[in-house]
Amino acid sequence: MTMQRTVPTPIDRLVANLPETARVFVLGCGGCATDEGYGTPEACRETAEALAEHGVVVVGHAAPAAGEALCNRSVARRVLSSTDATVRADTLVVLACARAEPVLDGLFDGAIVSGVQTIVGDRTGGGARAIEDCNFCAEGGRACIASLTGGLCPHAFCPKGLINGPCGGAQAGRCEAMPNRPCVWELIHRRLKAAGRLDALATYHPPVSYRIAGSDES
Amino acid sequence: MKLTEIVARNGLAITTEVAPPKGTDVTDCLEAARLAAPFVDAVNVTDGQGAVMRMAPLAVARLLLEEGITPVWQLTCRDRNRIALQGELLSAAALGVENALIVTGDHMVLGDHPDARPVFGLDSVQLLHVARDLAHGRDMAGNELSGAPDLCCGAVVAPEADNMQLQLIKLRKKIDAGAQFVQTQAVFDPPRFERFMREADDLGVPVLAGIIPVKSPRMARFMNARIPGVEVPPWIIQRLNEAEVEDRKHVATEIAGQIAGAVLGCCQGIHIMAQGWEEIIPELLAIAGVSRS
Repeated sequence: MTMQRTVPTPIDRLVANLPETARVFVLGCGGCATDEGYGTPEACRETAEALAEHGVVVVGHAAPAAGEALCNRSVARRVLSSTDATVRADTLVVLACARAEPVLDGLFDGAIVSGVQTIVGDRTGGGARAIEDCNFCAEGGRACIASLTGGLCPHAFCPKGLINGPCGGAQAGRCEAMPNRPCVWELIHRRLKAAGRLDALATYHPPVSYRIAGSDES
Repeated sequence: MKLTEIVARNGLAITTEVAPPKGTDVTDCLEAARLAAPFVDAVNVTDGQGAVMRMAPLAVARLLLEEGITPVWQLTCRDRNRIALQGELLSAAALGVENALIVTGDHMVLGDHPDARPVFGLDSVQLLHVARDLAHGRDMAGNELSGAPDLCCGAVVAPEADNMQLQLIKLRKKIDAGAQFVQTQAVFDPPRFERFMREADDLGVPVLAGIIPVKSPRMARFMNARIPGVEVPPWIIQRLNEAEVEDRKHVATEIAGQIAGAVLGCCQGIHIMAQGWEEIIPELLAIAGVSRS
């Protein structure tokens, strides 16, 4: 089985990424994140408690059974409809790898904030969609910018890899190069707006390092 | 001369553009530039526009300089990594080029070499930062240069793109990165452009509005289908449709001139993308109310 490796987002950073008036639902994952110990019902409860201790309004938490990955659309739909608490929530904190986010984007209207960071994985594995959602930058100690871009990685998703904002080419919200796909910057804009974090868009991201891993080992 | 100096001296700048040839024959390209030159301050040389392989624009920019024409040399991030991009900026300065327009570039799937490897190793914001660092005598690795390229670097924006807010956020990043002028994608809706300029009011650098004479209803349909960030409105297509075919050039010039005249009140110049119709530039400028003495 292929595997995405994840680590939890530190709680103060997670709180900082939430809208000030957020009503949060914590959502786990029975796939890789559970194997890693971060997507379980127990982990969801702990995260919910930690958020509440930081003054965040938490309306509920849930996780699919072990083995049921959130990047599977039908699993995601089932767990979201398993409780009416998800309707009262305007923000999802997701304890799953980056692969779950594009799936949830079509199923939940509010803000989606990742509670874990994907550090290494296999881009062919696991998910129900063949979409490049993570370049595993953090694996080589490089900066992951997804916490400033609504959990969606523009470097992986945009055919030009643009991390400082969109080109001018999107038409009706569709990508210039791949018209069957949305412009990722439209999705990022929508998410950050929902999260009250539009200020994050002004951040300058310096060039990505393309140095090959191991090239400086003697 | 630098575009910023031109604006400081004249209060506005008028530019146009030529595309380098597909091949080694520069005759038509230089002829187009010569035709436009008496009426404009500078001539852009495009870099693989529409992701179509053509002669490198630096060669044409140098040929323009030899003709006494001020070039605005375009540089895209699409085809070169950071080593090549920095090398190009040094080359341009050594050849006497003073103005560079830094752009991301259309994706290769839109052009005639869709199988080419997309580079995009830097984006336009990052490349503007790099150009500024080079001007201060350092390359991206922090190495010292012997001789620094002092280029007036510009940036582009699509004021009629779907999402104006996102365009403005990125434009501000470009200006923070050192862009000294802004050239826009085609403007067809002056009230919308005015709104854009109002939202952007604290830019602090000259803005040149892009003006395209739409030659025919067919060209309008092609642009709407194929040119990213451009939307020719129905009223232009209708006016062209209603015109007699032999009268179309005049009608197209009139429309473009009226748009140029309408936007000049809120920006510092226009950039005319004449696409082979360089001879209409004097009439277009006259309709826009620009007198060149």
